Amino acid sequence: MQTAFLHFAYRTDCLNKAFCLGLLSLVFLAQFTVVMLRYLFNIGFIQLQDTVSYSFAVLCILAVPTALRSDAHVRVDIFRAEQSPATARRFDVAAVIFFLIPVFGLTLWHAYPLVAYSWSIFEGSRETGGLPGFFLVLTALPITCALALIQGLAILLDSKILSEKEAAS
Amino acid sequence: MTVEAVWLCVLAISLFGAILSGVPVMLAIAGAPMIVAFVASMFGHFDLSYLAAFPQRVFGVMNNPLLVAVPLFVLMGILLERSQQAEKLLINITRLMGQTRSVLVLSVLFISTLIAASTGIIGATIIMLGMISLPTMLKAGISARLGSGLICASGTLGQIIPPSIVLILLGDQISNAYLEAQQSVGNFAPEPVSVGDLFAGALLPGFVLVCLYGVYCLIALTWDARDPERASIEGKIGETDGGMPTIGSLLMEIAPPVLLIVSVLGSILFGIATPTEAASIGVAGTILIAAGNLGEARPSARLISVATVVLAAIALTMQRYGLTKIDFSQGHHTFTLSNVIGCIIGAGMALGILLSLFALFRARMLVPSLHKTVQISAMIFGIIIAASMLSLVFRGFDGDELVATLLTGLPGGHWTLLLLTMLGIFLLGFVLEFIEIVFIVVPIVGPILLQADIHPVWFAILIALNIQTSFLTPPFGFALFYYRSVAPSDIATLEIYKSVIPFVILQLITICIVVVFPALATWLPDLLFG
Repeated sequence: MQTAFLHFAYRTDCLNKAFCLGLLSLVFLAQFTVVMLRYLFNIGFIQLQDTVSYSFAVLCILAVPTALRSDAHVRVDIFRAEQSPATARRFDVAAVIFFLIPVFGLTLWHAYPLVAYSWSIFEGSRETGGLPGFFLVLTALPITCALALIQGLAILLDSKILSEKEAAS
Repeated sequence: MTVEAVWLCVLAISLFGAILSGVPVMLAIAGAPMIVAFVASMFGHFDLSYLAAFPQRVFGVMNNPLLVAVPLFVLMGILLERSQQAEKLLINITRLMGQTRSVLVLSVLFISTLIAASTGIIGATIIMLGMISLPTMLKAGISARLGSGLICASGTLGQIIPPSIVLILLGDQISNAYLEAQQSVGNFAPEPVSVGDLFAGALLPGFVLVCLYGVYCLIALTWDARDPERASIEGKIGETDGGMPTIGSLLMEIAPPVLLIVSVLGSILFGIATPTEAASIGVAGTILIAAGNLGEARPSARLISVATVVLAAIALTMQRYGLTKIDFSQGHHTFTLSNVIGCIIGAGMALGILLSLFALFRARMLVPSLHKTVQISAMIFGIIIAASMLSLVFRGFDGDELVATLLTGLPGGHWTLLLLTMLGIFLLGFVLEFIEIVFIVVPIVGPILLQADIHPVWFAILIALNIQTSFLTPPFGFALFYYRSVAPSDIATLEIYKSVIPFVILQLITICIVVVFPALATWLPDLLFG
């Protein structure tokens, strides 16, 4: 059961990471195309500009839980440097229980009605002629909360996750 | 003391405790205020419905067009670092200028100023500089202390040197406050304050600051040289260097990144492009430079990137003479011959960028860079999002009103008020992001303070300098958090704190200079905009 959950947490993180890489590439490619079209040919497409804003919006929030798992969020280690691994681990567990779970749990709770409303009207772009599907962008927030909670639980269950060093970086 | 004031103290103490405990700063900044709010609500002292506004704040961050530039500038920095371009740039500039440490330090300061100004985002700049300049400086035998201090300090320069996001947000808030203040004393047609005024006003104080940094670095180097341990590594700088750079390395290694950074910065400063647009061009240029310098093993990549640059130059020239513009004014588009050529060149450039991307992918440089960019952006956005939770709770405890009552009840006229405002901003800078400070403090004190005979641009520049200083001040300056995340672990956190103290003193000196000579801030905007 526990192994199955940890495996599930690992898989979701891999998926999320790959998705974030795709979004980042999209932000660059779409923004670059916008600039080229505007400055060279003097033409512009609101849909393309919306692609940039939408993928950025989803990227900036979905990246948070994957950084949590990879321990990429910055820490003030002035006292941590002196702590034994066991003490440091206790602080990490406390941070998940007292900070991570309440913050993302509450955000999920309060975001739900906003997102549900956005779905009910299939909210589109704020610009006339923009890209439809803005409700999907807003949905990224509850998904982020769920992902953060999953990674938080995984950190509680497995003390090794935070010390895993990224092979890539 | 009111109940709220007591809770605000509890908030401050638990926040500091949580940050110092060593848990991720993002979780501490969001979590600690929330727990305090929960506890206070049990005593009936906090209305939990304030927290319901949090998702809206997060949506606000997600949909802020100014922030789109952040991941792009981070990606640009990481690609420059991974492809070792920035390192080569620093080394080559040092070689070109002569091979002493003082020249290296000054080139780091010069390049930092360029990068800081072009990104304008503390987190991105410091991380970029930490990865690029620190290893180069350490290799050349410059002490980790001077290097760390220089990087943290020049990383915050982006806050004061235009185009900075702080100045854009401040311009908006100051002009509102100034209008309100002047109307309440009976002046119904005050001169409006624009973002352009602030940009012009910040140039000279920023220049003074950079000069002071430079003078300090030279003095510190002389001190370091007297240290016998340092003197023993003196020889290294000569060994690693191969004399004057060749014409080839000048063309392929120095000129492209410098031109790129200068043109990115210039296009923002002269209002040709927004920071986000300029950032995407910056990324594209960096991709070409990185692919072009993959080395002898991949000559085709170099050919492709040179060809793309040539195409870009042709396209820019055609654009200059209006040849590429597609005309819709007749209601339908008419393709001229030059349009067709323009389209072909555009397609060629797009192909060149894609092929260069593929070359970087094959060289196993692309995916790790994208990955690192996602993580670093997540860290920056995590802090911005968490800071909005903190400011919600702060307002929920009536923190803003408390500050306003404190300020208006003061004896001693507007100088006391100004001094206290500056002190307050300095202290708030430890715990809040500048966005929060600008939006909390200026609407509270601006309308009171600007009723007196105070130049709004001068006031804004003082605030900007002040925020920049507090970002740099240990132990809670944001610049130090960001630097910590890239500094190698053998540089102790305490060492970093000590390293920035001289720079904090320089900041305070600059603030005093601007206080004594307001013309530094007001002369240029008055000259440019009358």
